[in-house]
Amino acid sequence: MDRPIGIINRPLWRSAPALETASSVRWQTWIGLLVALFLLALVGWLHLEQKATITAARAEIRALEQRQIELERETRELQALLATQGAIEPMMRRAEALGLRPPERIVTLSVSPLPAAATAPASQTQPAAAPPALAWMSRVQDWLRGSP
Amino acid sequence: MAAFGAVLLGQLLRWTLWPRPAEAKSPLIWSPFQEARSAPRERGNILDRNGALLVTTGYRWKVAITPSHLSQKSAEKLAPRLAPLLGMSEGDFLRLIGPALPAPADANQPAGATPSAGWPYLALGQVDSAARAEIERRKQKAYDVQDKDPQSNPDFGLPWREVTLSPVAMRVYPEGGLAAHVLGFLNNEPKAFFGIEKYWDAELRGENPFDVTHEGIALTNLSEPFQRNASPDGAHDLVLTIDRAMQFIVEQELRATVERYSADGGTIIVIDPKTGALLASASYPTYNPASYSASPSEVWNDPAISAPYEPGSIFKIITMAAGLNAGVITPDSTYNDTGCRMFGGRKICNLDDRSYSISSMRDVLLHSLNLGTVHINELLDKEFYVYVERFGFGAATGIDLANEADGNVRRPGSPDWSEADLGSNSFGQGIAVTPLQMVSAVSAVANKGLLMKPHAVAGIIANGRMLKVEPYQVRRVIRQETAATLTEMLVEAVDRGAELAQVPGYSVAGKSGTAQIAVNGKYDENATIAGFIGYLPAHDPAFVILVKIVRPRGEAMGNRVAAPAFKRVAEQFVTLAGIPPDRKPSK
Repeated sequence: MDRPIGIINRPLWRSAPALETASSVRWQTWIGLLVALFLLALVGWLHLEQKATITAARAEIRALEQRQIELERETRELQALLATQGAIEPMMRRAEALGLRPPERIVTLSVSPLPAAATAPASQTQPAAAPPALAWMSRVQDWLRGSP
Repeated sequence: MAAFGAVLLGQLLRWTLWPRPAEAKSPLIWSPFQEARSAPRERGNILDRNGALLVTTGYRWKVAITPSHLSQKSAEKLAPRLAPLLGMSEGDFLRLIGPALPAPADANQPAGATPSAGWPYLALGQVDSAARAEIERRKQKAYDVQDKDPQSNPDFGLPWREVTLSPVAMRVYPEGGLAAHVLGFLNNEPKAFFGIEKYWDAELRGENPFDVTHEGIALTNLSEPFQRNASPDGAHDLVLTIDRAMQFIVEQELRATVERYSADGGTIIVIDPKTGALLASASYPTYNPASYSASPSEVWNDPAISAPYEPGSIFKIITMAAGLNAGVITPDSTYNDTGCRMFGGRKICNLDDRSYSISSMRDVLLHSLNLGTVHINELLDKEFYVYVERFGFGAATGIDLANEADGNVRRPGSPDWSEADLGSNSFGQGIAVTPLQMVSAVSAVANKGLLMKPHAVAGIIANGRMLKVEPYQVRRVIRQETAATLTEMLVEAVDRGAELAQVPGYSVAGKSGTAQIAVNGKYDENATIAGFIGYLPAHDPAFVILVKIVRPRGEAMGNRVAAPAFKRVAEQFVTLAGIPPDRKPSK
């Protein structure tokens, strides 16, 4: 039995070595063709698969975009409706219907500046008593020192 | 073979992992690199300074049909279901569609002649959103095989598929005709005319990309009202400096004043002197931009920026500023007022022809003495025109509104200038300025001598961010001390001579003016333009307000006609803006 020669080592267009028989050449050729066909089919299938995915995604994107546009239009119309409801002139008409009237005369109430914070005379000032927390702390310190 | 296989595998991997560059750029194919939006954006909204919606885009729906796919019989079946939604009778519908339907086979037709196949397209009219929703519903019901009962589903089997709907965008104005002159409008093409719509057309259409590196522009996030009213599709929206409440007040007061004096029209402009921001601008007569064609085309143009006029005595503020700044006068400088005098070969008189004998510059503003300002210009001579130019007269202010006029200033050296012009220009005659130029110049006095560029747009919104337009300082026109002195003089003029312009609790600096109207080269003795310009609180002003009333009847003087309107606007503005009084109310 001759040493088998892989198709990778020997391209089809090369002449077969003298040792190879006609049948082994035919068998290797078929294998090579099948592999090539498989690869081509794989390429084609993947290409089609991707195109199909792209087309589906495209349709979905278009539908979503259309929906987005519809929602944007609706938002604009709602914005306009809301703004129309809150427009000054209709609001004023409604206020007038409720019996409200613009002021005939605007009166400004002027408030004098507040007096500066009152300070007690120096003679009346007393040394501040220690805050309770500090008093408690000093008693603890005295006890630690052993004072009565 | 191995190389071939490697190439194929390589291609497989490339196709699977990375789309081709052309596909990656295509807006219709998903790719990880794609961020661009494929759907077109609508025209941007226009908001006021507080985020209130002034202009947005709304829709009507164009209804069309394909008559070539119908027969007379199917059209007759469709008529009772479609015609009412279009606001027409069945008969009208059939008369409209009849000529467009395919011609029936005719036995008498000559050999070789082909019968009409019908029109491929026929527009039937426009409907609103409610009618559109109903048409869409009926289109679906036509194919609802679950409900074939003609009683419950009269649309089943009708040729609704031949009816198509397409949106027609149009501008919607929630505030009606508010600020019509500032906003401008879009015609049916749609093409922008006047105001903001015209000046900012490219930005509103989203054509001008933002340049975030532009000097004087800062990017900020949006606060609530702006977020709510910004375009949902990320279109370029404009935020105006206009305050809709202030605009409403101004329009109400202007209309009331014009009607009270049966005047031909008028203008009120309010500017923030520190920034040049246009807070309100109204002209009367006005129009509704939603139905602009119902008003005469003369009212579409905004007189506030495009109708120069002779300002009259309010221009004395400029002459006085020039005289004080040049040092040729002080507030207490005096001259002998003779009532009338010759200047440059022309007789010039005070408005009341009275002689005021020895008068100070304070008296000139208080009594509005023409001879006083002629005296100033006599001292200033041609330097007066240096100040006129510095204050911005004779050239457009550059405000971001379409159709701004330059005004007309005759300068020494030009063939139509004469020495007499120096005299008459001093009190606002023989010089044509726009109301905006006038208010901008007085804003410079109010702003301690700094002239700011007036502007109507405060920012541009795109994709949730706002590019804020910062105030632009044009130049210093007078010294700070000059501005302070002039303000004192103008406060005195209001306190002692313009009771009707006084605002209780606030110091007001201002000047009235009664300008004559030139008709065919002569001044009309019976027609005036009554004006008042002022600012408050005088020493830290928030508003400069100009009131101009054209041809008031029954009363001609600015301090009688325009001053009360100034007062009413000012009173409401300080209340609205929450500006504390700077005086005791008794004053």
